[in-house]
Amino acid sequence: MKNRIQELRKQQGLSQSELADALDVTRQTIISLESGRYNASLKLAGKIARYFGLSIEDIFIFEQEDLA
Amino acid sequence: MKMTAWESCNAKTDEEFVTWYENRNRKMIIFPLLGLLAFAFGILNEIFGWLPNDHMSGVISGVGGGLIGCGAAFSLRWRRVKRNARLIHKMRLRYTDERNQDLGRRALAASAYLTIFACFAAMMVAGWFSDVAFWCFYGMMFFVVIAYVGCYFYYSKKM
Repeated sequence: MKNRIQELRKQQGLSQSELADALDVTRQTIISLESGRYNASLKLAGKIARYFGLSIEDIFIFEQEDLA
Repeated sequence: MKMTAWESCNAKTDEEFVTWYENRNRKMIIFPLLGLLAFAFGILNEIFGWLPNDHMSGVISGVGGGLIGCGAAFSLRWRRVKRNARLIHKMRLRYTDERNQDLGRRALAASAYLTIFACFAAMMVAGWFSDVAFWCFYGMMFFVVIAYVGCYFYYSKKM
């Protein structure tokens, strides 16, 4: 599943470590999320959305095959 | 039956994590104690010769010593971590990070499957040479399957 986490993080001038600290996860999780290798749980997706002040759908791009 | 000592940590703060970890450590004390018993048994066996096989005596002492050593190492590591807030935070993230938890669960599931297959293959080969080895592998395979079914029903009630 694609997402805009990297784009939003860079817009705010944050490093991966800083974002990881803010979300209370490891830096490796941020790396995996940004590369699309790991899909966040609903809880983490909600935390990310709240952190950036956007909705989950604005950050995570749901394609047809993701919902199949 | 509560399985909280073996379930993942859901601590949201470092203080909660310290409480959870120390609570788990108190339950895990059983392993160094078993190690002490095994080590003592191995030493006493050398003196009194209860087991006919010297090799097993050494294995039992070694396993016991290993459990004691691990218990001591974990205890020393925790004492060092507890004094440093940054290390506590880092350790909490290692336990509570959802990707790490997911990784751990998948690795455990895959290793359980591999264990079943390996036991089955070993059972088939060992059956040609030794009944004892055959039944040991059979018992292990059977135990993993029963444990899986039991845990599946336990967690299906919980979730």
